[in-house]
Order: sequence, then structure tokens, then C-alpha cells
Amino acid sequence: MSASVLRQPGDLNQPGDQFRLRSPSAVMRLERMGSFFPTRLSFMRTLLRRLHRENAVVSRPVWNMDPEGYGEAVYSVALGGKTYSLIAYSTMLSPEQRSDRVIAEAWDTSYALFDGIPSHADIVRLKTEVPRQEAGRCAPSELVLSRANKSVRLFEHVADRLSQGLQPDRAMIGQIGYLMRTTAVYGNGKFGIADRSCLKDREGLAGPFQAEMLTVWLIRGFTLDLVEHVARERNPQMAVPLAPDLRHYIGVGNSTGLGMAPFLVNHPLLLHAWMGARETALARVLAQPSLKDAEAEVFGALAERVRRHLEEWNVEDQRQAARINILRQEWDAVLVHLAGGTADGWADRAYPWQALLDHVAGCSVECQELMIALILEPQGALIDDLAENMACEGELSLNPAMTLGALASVLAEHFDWAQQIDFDDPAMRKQFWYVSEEKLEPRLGSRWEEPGAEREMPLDVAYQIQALAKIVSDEDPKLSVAEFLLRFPGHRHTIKRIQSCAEHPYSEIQDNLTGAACLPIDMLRCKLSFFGASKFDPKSDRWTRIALFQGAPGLDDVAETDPDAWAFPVLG
Amino acid sequence: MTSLKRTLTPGPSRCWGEMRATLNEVKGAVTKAAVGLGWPFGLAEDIGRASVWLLEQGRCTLAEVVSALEQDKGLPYPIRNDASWVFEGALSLRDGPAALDLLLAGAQSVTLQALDFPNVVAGLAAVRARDTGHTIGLQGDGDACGRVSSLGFSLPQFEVPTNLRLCLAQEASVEIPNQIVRDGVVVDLEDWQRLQRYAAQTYVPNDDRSRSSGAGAGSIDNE
Repeated sequence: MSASVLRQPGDLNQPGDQFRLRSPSAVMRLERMGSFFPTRLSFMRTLLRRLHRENAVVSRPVWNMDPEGYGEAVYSVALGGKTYSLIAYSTMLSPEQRSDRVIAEAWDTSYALFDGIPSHADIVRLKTEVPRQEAGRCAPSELVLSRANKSVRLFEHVADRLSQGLQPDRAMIGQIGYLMRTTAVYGNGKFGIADRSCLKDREGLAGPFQAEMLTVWLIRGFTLDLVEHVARERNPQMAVPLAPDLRHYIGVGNSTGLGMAPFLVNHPLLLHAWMGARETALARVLAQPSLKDAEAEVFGALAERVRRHLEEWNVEDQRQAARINILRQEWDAVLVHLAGGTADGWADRAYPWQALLDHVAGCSVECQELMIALILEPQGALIDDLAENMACEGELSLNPAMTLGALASVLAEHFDWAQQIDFDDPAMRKQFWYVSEEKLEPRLGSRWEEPGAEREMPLDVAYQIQALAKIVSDEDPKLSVAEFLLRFPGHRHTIKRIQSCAEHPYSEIQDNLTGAACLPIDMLRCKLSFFGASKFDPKSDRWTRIALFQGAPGLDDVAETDPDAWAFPVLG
Repeated sequence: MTSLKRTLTPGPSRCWGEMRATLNEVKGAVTKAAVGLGWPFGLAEDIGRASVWLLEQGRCTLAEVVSALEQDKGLPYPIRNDASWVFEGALSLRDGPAALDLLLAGAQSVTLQALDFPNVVAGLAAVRARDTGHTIGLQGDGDACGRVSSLGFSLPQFEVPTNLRLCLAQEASVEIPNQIVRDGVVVDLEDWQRLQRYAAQTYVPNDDRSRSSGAGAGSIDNE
């Protein structure tokens, strides 16, 4: 990413001066997307700001748990003038059944976000459906369906220590960070639950994944209550609750696989909305000619917290561990640079945020993206409005009147990256994306070694673009797309993508998603960063664990606690 | 066409029952089934969206959509006469999208003759009207005439088969606003299972290698 692109005065209109947005050719690359960190525009942050603004109060009208922690509970909260309830079911699970994969068929806990306050009949009805997840059948009164498995090691440790009147080992809390991991969070009409169209006009849930984030936040509260319940039941006389700082720190985990990657490719307009908001926020901040009072101090404190956050971010994955090591070194250097901030240093320069970004231009991409997330952090007044425009209900559409000449121009302007790939090289088509018949789990295969490539999902965008471009170059440029498609209907989808990209420049990942070098983990991290996930903990190149809501306000203090004070959480 | 009419006749399997499907399930199932049957993905997307509109507005049954999906997937061969196009022996999903493309690209007149499922074409037109903001006119046999826009529709009950002439309508008003369904739509279980069987043709059979390495994760997580 060249800093010069960032430095040019921009042509955006709102609000006031802005620098030019970063070029899609720099931003929409897997290496960069796979280095994203959550920002204050992330969906968890948006949700908590709203809950705080509305002085949200969470009640627990049902807590029907046996001494082992099996039973059901209900949590209710008002948001945007409506009440939503998490119905949680906790059941016994044998170790050989505990799997984070889609292919699992039973879980420690399962959940539904209910539209309103459930009756006893609703709780009974859903008790036979929700624990079955994909095999069950819900109703439009359910908005989200989810499940979570215990981090067996930490859950048992915490329950045991609390039952003895002791607090859990802080190092272990820091190492794992959550009591349970969600392994799926379903929305938008899956398995009978309400369609997204039912929520898109609802105050508080209209933004992307807000119902899902509300569900996960409530699940986090449930896991904390559950572990304290188990401890109390084990030893009513001795048991103590979790220390407030630990209760605040513990998040909820998530295990995520390949399903997230096709989502980004299959929702290009939504991807543009997310990336466009993020890039516009960055442009607005970089356009600030000087620091406001105390900003340097606040930013310095944040940067120091980031250092501690990085210290606490430890993973087994060799690739990510090496990246974190580099990042720590780079960040130490950043802190040295910042230390001169008020003595004719970065803070006194014109366009100080730009100067900071320039300072890390030679660092790793992960360090650059960390700096971007951080410089957005103190700028709520300037950028938070952008979170309101991150939803997108539109779909790809075709302009059949466009001539092939015009289409070729769009190809040349926006898709040169796709045409540079040498698909004669077998490595460029090595992988194929598919849906397994086994519980419809998304998987990645080796095209030259495994069967099934004839059923691959259409994620080979670059290959299809190149194939289309070759045909179009031999056709009459005055021909309309409509007439072209009479003979080549197989290119309809690709033409829609190309036409849409002209107006939605951040809609397309500009890399070969079937190449041997493609790491799906980069797509997962991009999407998860928009959720607000932290502590990325890859388990392979196509599977990761993360922490959600770690350090965030809880069910009992969201109204009183600063909803934006928990970025880059540290255990301390 | 005889076989098409037969599929519209309720058979004994109707007693298998019905189910409520969400709109997203309808879109996903129809799109996947279309791909499984060999329709190009870009067309399958259009068919999936049209199906949602058709079932949401109560314009046809899922059985009609599935039957339309089962028809020939070859290339459309319209006859051109200057700026007019005629599709003879028209099939709704093979020729409907192409006819709408030509209309929206500026053709003066586009006619689908002996069309198998005119309501399905109405659904395809409704989606294109929503995408483009145009009001699309559908002139059926005799006096039957209607239009669809992004707001709603005015449509006669088409006979099967029929001739359908498409045009861009000047009149934007519609009699029936688009209905917004909150509780999903009721579909025949047998039709739904047909769709699922076709969708399954997009799934790759499972084997040990696929299971162990395809998702990049182990099968048990007990740490």
C-alpha cells in the first residue's frame, strides 16, 4: 500500500475534507484482508453502543438448571423498542460427541434468540427443536439459532476453583479466554427461523449481523452465570462468584471454518458496504489536519494497551505465531516513536494521523492494519455514523443494454488483476471449493487429486473473468450483453459481477481463490474482524478460533459502562 | 406441453403434506436445484429470486417452478426481425431471462410463443423490474394484459400454454402492491423434496480424505 495514495486530497463529499480512499487494488488483497483487526465500526461495537445508549437492562426470567448445570434459561432485553429473549438449553454431552465441526450432531448448549418473551409453551416447543440445530425446525418467532461447546479445560477449572472459594488461575484465563465456543450462529431464515427481511426495518437489528451479535453477547452472559451456578451447587457454603475483572475479561469463543469464505464472495455488494465504510472512516481520520486536545495522550494510552494485548495473544499456529512476534517488535518501535509525540514529534506534524500511518508503511501488513484500527479508535464523533450504512439488501443485477465494448472497458479498468493470472499453470487452479454431502459442510479440495471438482462452487472468480474476457475480445464490441448471452448464458453471473464492480469498487477480492497459495484463513479473518473478533487463533489454513466480546461490558453493566473502552482487551 | 400440464395436476403424493419454508430457504433451494439440474449459476440466481417473488405473491406453486426447472436448458433461439424478437415454443426459464434481457436492452417487441409457464416469466420480470425501476408489461392471449413494477403487479390469470408479449410499460401504477411475507410460505412437501434431490446434485460425496482434510479441522474438540 503506497502512502502516496492516501495523501492526495479526496473527492468524497461527507463530512468536510477527506483524503482519497485507498485503492481497491491495494485493499482487496488477501494478504491485507487477512491482517485486519476489529475497529469501532465492528458489529459488536455497534451493538454495545446502542445497548448502552438505550440503558439496556437484561433480566433472567427463567433459570431452571439442575446441580450439574443442565436445564434451560431465558434472558430478556429491550432493544429499539422491542424485547428479545435468548432461550438457552444446556445438556449433557459425551466427549466423543464434542466437535466444533458442522458435522457434529450434539452440543453442550444450544440457543435461540426469540422475538419477544417466550411462553412456557414456546420453551417446551423449542426444547425439542433447538438442541437438534440443523435437524430441528424453528419458526419465524425465532430470529437466530446457535450452539456452543464448553472449553472443557477452562470451564471445569473455573467451576472447581470457584466452588472452593478461590478465583481461577489468571494465566489460564488469559490463555483460553472463554468458557464456551459457539460453533455456528445461524440467521436469515435458516431452518425455519425468521428471514432477514423481517429484521431489516427494525430499530437496533437493521445493521449487519446485529441479531447474531446480540445472541452471542447474551450467550456470553449465560456461560458466566452457568459456571457460577455449577460452582455454587458443588459447594454452597464455600463458593464465590467470579472476580469482577475476570467476569469482564472472559469472552465467548467461536470456532469458524470455510463457510465464512464463500459468504464474502457470494455477497459482493455487502462486502463493498463493509469495506467502503471502513475505508471512508480511515480517509476521514487521515484528513484531520491536527490533533484535538488530549488526543495524543489518549492515543498513547491505547497504544500501550495494544502492546499488552499483543503480549497476551499467543497461538500454536506457526505462521500466526511468527507474525505476532514480528508485530510485537514493530509495535515496540511504534511506542518509542510515540513517546516523542508532544515534543515536536508525530503529534505536532500537519496531518498527524497520516504521519503515523506513514511511519509504519515499511512494517508488516499486520502492523499497518493494526495502526489503522487504532487510529480509528478515538474518532467516534467523526466516523461512527458510517456504521449505519453497512447493511445492504441489494443483489447483483444485470445491465443487458451494455455493449461488449463498454464491458471490455470495465474489465480493463477494474479486472486487470484477474487477467494477469497464468491459469495454464496448474498451481493456479489447484484448489476447488465445494459443499460436502456430509451435513453440507463447506470444504476445499485438491482439483488434481480429489474427485468432485465438477461440482465446485463458483468461487473461481478470476478464472471466470479471464475466460469471459477472452471471448469478449473476439466479439463485435457493439453487440449488447443481451445478445451475447443468447449464445453464452454461462457467463451471466460473471457479467453481473463485473458490471456491479464499477459502482462498488470494494466488492471483489482481487486474488485467485483457487490458487495453491490461497489461504482461506485470510477471508475468515477479514469477515471476523468486521464482527469484532480478536485473538485470532488459527488451527489450520482454513479453520480458526477467535474470542468475541472479550473485555466487553456484561449483561449487568452495559448501561453504566463505556461501550467503547474495551478495544484490544487485556487481562492485566 | 402435455407433460407440463400433468405436473400441475395434484397427485396422490399431495397427501404427504405441506411445510412452511422461509423465503431464504426457497431462494437457496431453488437456486441450488437449478445449478444441480445444469442451469448456469447466473440464471439460477435469477430463478431463485423470481421464485421468492412468485411464492410470496401467491402467483404460482412451487410445483410450477420445479417443473419449469426440469425443462430443456439449451440455448434460446429467438427469431429476429429488426428490433423485434420472437421465441417460438418458448420455455419460461430458457427463454424468459433472454427475452427480458432483450427487452431491457432496447428491443421494440419481444414475444414468447406457446410459453409453458407464463407466471414464472412474470416472476422473472418482477425481479428485473425491481432491479431496474422499469415497469414491464406482459400482454397475454386475447385481452389478458398486465404489468409488474418494483411496487407490485397487475396480472391476469394466465392460461397454460399462452403467448406473451413483453414491453416496457408507460403506465406505472399497479393494482396489487407487493405483499411482504413475514412467516414464510407454505410449500408441498413432495415438491420440496424434489428440489432437495436436485440440489443434492451440487454436493460432493463424502470420503475419508474429504472428511479429514477438507475442512481443515479435526473431528473432536475436547480441550
